[in-house]
Amino acid sequence: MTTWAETFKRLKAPKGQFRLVLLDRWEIPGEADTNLGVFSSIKDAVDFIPKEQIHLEYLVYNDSGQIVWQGDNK
Amino acid sequence: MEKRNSKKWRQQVERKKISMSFCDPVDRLINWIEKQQPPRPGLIPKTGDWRHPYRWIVPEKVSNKTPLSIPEFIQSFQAPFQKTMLKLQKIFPESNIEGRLKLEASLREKARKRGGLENIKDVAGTRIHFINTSELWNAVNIIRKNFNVLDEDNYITIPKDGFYRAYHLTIEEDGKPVEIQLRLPCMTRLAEWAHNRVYKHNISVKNEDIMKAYLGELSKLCYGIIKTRPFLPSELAEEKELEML
Repeated sequence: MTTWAETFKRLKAPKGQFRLVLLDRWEIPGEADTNLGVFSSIKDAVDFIPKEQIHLEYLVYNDSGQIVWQGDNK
Repeated sequence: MEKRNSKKWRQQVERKKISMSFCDPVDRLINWIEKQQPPRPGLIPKTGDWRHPYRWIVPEKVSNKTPLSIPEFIQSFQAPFQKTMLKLQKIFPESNIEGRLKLEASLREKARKRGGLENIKDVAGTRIHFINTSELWNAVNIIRKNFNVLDEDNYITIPKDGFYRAYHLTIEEDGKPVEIQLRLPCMTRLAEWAHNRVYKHNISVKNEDIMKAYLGELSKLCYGIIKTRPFLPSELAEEKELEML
């Protein structure tokens, strides 16, 4: 089982890039994230969010593991 | 023996240097990985890491036993999911019932971790909140009587991850598994708090253990297993929001 600290580490984007993560709060903490891809800008990451899907939470992380954008697809 | 500084000797030394720099297979792999490109949309990582050498499988081949594509597979749960929601609303008219179908990307990730779609029971998930544990235990019996129960996970007696307490039942509706989670509202608040900590704050390993232990105590309080609120550990003294749960 991955620890919470490990989970946070793997959410970090590669240097100079941004990682888009889907958060499914129906899963238990530490197993609720789905990596949707790595992008060169925040805009590219946000544009990648599918518009037609139901309300869910999306997070964009930078290369130091900080959240630089969060929201849903509404 | 080659003469030192001869051309051949220098070439040998150079070759040795190169082979030494790649002697570790991990180094070679990292070198290779760094040259790779990010994923193409529509394909899924086979290993969880898009940089892995054998990283791609097409979604349709997640499992040979599932002839449907993943969107079709999710769609096939739509009718059983809605039917279950309607039945639950009739059986528990006073309770708060929520539900969701898993998203494609999230399902792909889980299928990859579990080695196929067959073992995933929560493609369609419903959640019912009860005010107290006696109502929750009654509901378990009612669901057993009204549905064909395929599987049960009692995380109330043995909490998952040390703190997550809920009762999960997998029922069958039109040949498809649908998960029903029975919870108390305080448990959802604890889980929400834990999600926020994991995904929105950096957690040190030391703090993680303390947090899980404290959440474990709070979940006991939530289910009436203990009657007195545990003290907030001094290491987490700044976590005022925990006190408010």
